[in-house]
Amino acid sequence: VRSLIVVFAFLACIAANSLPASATETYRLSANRVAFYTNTFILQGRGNVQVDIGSERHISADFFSMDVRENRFVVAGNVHLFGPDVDESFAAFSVDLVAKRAYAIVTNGSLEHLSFNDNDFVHALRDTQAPPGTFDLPLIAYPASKLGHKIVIGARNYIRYGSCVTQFIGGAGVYIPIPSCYVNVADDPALAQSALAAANAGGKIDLTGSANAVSGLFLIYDRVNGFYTALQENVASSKAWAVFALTASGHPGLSVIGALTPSDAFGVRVSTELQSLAPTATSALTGFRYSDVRVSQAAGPGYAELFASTAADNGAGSQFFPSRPSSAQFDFATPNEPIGDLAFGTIRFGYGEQHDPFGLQQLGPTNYTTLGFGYLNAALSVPALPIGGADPHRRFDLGLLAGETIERFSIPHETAITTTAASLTKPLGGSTISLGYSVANVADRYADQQLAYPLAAAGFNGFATFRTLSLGTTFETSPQLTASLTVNVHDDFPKPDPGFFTVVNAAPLGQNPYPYQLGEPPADVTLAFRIRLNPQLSLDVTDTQFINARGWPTNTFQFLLRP
Amino acid sequence: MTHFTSSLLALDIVAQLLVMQGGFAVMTNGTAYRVAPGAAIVDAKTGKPAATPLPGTLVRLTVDDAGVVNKIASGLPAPRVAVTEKRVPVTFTVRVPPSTRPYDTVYLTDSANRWNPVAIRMDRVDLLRFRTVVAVPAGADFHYLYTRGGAQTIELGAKGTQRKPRVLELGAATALSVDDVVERWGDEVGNTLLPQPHESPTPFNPAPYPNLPVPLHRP
Repeated sequence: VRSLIVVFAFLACIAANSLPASATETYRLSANRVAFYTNTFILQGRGNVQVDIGSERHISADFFSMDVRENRFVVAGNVHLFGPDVDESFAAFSVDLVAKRAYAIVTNGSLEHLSFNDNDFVHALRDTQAPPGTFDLPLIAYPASKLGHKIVIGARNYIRYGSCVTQFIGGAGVYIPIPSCYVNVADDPALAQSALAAANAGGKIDLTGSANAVSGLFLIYDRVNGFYTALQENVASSKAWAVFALTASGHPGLSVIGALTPSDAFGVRVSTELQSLAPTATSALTGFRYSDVRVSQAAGPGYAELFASTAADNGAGSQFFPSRPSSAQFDFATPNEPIGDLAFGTIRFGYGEQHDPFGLQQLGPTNYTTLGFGYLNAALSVPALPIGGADPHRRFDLGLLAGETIERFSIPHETAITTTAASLTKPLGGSTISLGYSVANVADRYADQQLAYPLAAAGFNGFATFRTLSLGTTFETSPQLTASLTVNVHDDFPKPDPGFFTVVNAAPLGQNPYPYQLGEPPADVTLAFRIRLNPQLSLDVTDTQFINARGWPTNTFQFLLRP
Repeated sequence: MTHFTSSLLALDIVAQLLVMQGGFAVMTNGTAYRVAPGAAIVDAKTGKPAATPLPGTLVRLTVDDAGVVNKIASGLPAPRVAVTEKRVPVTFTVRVPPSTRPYDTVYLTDSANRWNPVAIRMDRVDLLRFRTVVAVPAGADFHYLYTRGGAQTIELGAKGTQRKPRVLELGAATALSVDDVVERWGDEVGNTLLPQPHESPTPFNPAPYPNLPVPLHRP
């Protein structure tokens, strides 16, 4: 109930902000063939073109062309502009919707150039030469991304077909029918937010939408939940957005995330989730709920934050341990401020409390239900110190990073993470070769270490060291092909011990692995490349081979086809 | 696009047609030619009679010494690079905050890719820098942000709040390098990260390791 109150209160804020500062103007276009080219944002209509430009004014023509990111379109061939106050015929007509200026070419026996200002189509200015580019049309040599007959154009914001066929794979010219097609071309990501988990495979179809809302259908596969579908609704205004996701197929759930940013100095983000889960051999969880709120306020050189969360697990069986944790904390952080000419520094600290009536941590006979914690994090970095002089043949970039994080709990327990890293990079035009070395000492320290780490297998008692030597090269000379190859060699303590440490599965695309994984394979090689297959399709491949994995995944492979 | 070849009697002009109407052939660059009443319209490949070419197509006009078009060859193939020529290769190099973890992947998300957070993967150059090259459409502002692969990880501003998209105005540049700095990732909270959607945030793990040995797994 508390979660819903938070969400509804937040949505009320969004409703109060419900429209952008300038409402999006819409135009309606119909033609025998309305084609949209996703990669260039070109919209073309051919044959029996009808355009409704508002104020009861209409245009008929043989041809229509518009870059939907711009507020300008061109119609040509038997152009007829008509409305309550106008009835004109042209050979070609170009309309700038923002400047409210239009240019026409008339070819009735003689050639004539006309122009119109302020949407006044009654009083034409004659012999007005149009600026260069006024009648430019794109040259297109590939199949349309979407095809239909009727479309609504939200200037600089979106297009929406009544019904359409959409290209199955970019550039292939193979189409599948969809009852409604929507493409958002807005300059702001507010309507592209997601409340769904990262996927191993999947796709999204935007079914319908407007300047302030999008409804989409997701088809998703991930290793944990298998295939499932989800409906997602995005709403946005100039200062707020919210996204609702309803998942089905096996593990129904509802996720809501929203953000309100009334100014650059203040912002609120809330999320809540009700999720059901399918019990597995290793988990008795049947579901959980989770809510959080983050309030950020610019303060002095940095920003202060309040963060609170509450969660609860559902489960069944003797293997289920109930859990209902909640937390509240205050944080302050500075941005990465320059220190002198070469270095940057940042500091972050905070204090908070966590509570779980079922117990947060068991140490010996004591079950702690409330834990206070305070932390301090500081980092000093030199991103790229050029050495070797200005001569590009002799130049190297030296990178340095040192960081310390200490967290102390209200019981005799503290964690400390000390990281130091250095890299030496040789720029080679659009390519680079880089050698790096990093050491992370991680300490999980208790007053009675034996109490927390009773097993001394592999010599591990809470103190670990992660050493990584890496050699990498990047190839970034052309947008047609980018590539990188990285080799990492790890010398960690504790050493990998098959079957002792819990195996961490490879993260799906877009989700990053947790750091400080114990027992990681001693070496890995990653090859990644992106190649443009045609103007509408590129292929992105990442392949990591783990060497001497001994129980861990030996290989992770990801690929992405995108426009 | 206009290309001229000439002989003693006629001039061949290859250009993009805007419209043929009322005795004129008007090109997209604004140039207009009078068309002879019986001018032949042929297919450029076969030489056979063809229909009036559509607006936007490349045509070859044969203009006589009086400046009148007496032959129009349509169906000239549009060069496959025609549209990509209007794109500018831009090298984006971003310096990430030191909180970025060693195995994190950084992506560039942009309006041209409908803000897909994994659309453009960047390559790690060294400790704190990632880089990629993108063919940015010329003629319109390019709006973009950096992310670690999800909508929840999209970068925030130096004041800790949601930031407006970065804007790149290309102007007349033929190639460009852009250096950016990310101040903070969107999922950072305190000294930890927000759970991703569908990620069960429980149970509480006080240890700095994600995969303690099974017998020690808490609580």
